[in-house]
Amino acid sequence: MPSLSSKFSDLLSGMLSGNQNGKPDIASLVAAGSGTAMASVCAIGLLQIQQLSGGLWSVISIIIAALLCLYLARIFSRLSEVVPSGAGLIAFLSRGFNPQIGIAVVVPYLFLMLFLVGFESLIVGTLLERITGMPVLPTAIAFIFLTWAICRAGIRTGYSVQILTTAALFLSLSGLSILAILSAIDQGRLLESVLPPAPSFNNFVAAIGQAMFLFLGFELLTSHIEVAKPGAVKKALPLSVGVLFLFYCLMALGFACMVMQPITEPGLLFIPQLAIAEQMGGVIAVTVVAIICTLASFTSFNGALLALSRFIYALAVQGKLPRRLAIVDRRSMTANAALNALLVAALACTLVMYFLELFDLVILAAAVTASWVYFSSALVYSRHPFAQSNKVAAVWPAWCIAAVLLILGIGVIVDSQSKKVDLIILLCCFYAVGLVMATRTTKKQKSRREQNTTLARAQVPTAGGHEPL
Amino acid sequence: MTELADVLNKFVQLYHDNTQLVQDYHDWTCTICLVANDSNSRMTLQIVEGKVENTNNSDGDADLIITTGEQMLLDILELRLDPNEPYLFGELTVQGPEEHFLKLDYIVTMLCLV
Repeated sequence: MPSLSSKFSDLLSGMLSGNQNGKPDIASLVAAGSGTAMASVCAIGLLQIQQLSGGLWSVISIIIAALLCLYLARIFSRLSEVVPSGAGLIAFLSRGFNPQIGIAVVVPYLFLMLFLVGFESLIVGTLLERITGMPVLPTAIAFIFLTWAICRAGIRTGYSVQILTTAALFLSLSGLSILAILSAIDQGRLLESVLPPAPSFNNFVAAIGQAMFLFLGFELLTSHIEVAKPGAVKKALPLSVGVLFLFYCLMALGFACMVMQPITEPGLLFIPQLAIAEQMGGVIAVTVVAIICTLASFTSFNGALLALSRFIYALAVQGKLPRRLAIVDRRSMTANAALNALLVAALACTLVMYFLELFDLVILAAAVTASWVYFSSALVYSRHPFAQSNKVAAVWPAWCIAAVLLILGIGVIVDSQSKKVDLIILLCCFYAVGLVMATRTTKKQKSRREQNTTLARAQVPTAGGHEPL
Repeated sequence: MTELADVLNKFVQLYHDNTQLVQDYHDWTCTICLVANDSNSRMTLQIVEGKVENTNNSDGDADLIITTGEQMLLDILELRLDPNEPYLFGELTVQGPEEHFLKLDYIVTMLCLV
């Protein structure tokens, strides 16, 4: 009979290694979908929305973004039903348009993820600095190294861990936000906190655009279609949006009710979740929030790095990236060369973000890119093989949503004021790389196929040479 | 015998001839079903401890189901096409744990490079 310690060891190993004997159910997928979007960096995005629109206006902008995302959840359900591919967005866009458009749209999104990894690691560094006193940058770098090392070992966090960390994050930060709201009620300043003057139209549109960034990542839930129970992804997508909506609304109101004002000193990263924890629960709450946020960031990083490494590996195999990145460890099945490249890229992004203080700029770029990725997805929904009807009446809602998303992305750029030029330059760089990679294809692919055909003809025996099994 | 079955058997022979690859996956047991969604052809491979024990066109349960067009399956099995490309661009879909697809993809890639 197995001992208790061996059972515990098996359970821990299963949770850490992602060994899922059964298929993930709806709860696991909701945790995965909402957990991916609930990054620590979103709290900073939420604070920016507060500064743009404030109080209930920020909640309204989140509601509008959530409604758009609910329709997007329907779109992604359809896309993943027709093309049930773990490759997700790039597969959908490639099938609906062509591979070049798929690459051109998705590559900037992935670049942005690297900057967000850098941003998130600096937040983790700041969180741990508050409870341990260790300096921010070395801690952030160590965090990235640790995550990379665990990915190199082929360890992927399981759905159980994802559920635990997402639930802990949701309950802790929502709980603190509710306490902040109750405190404001108790002190008679609730109305003053949640009913600021109405924002300008441009600010409000920009706030909705930035609110789209808060939901960025929920669509990655479609990548679980290959292992999920039938129908689970379709149900989990809107539920993820619902969980995120509730979470962000509570946090938005909680931030509005905070007494502590954001510190805007140069070189200092203001972490609103730490601020609200300190205000409502003191040192213990700060410690708990810091640990939970760090664990949540780790589970997100783990999945993101492994998925990104596979994507880089696939692009390298096709010659769109250097072929030396197309190396897979035959035991752990991890794309080690790609993981190493990602480590270097993540460290570079972290250093760039830290020394150039690109925090606001990256959030703005993320909001624009999210809007345009969703715009592309809404457009492809009305094309073969996803369109359920050729009639205009059936597709015009998707076109309207696509137009709104395009405008939101533009609205974020227009309203970015002093950062407008930098934002445009950053986006141009991302999309230029995407276009170069998209067009750097057919010649190399054709020559490699010809080469493989020659090899295949040399190796495959003639009909009379070998007996079939 | 269908063309798919014929090509698959040749692919399996190539794989078995690469003793290093077979040895690398001596602990791999899996049933893989290849489905051609445009011709309704299907072939199943039963892999036991790294060796393909049986290929047939049965409809039984599989650990991994790979679905794409018949010509694409033929291109992959005849090593003209790496499965990553159609997978990335949504022309080939997979149902089942990622580890099995990664191993199969690795085998095809290694055979291409030999």
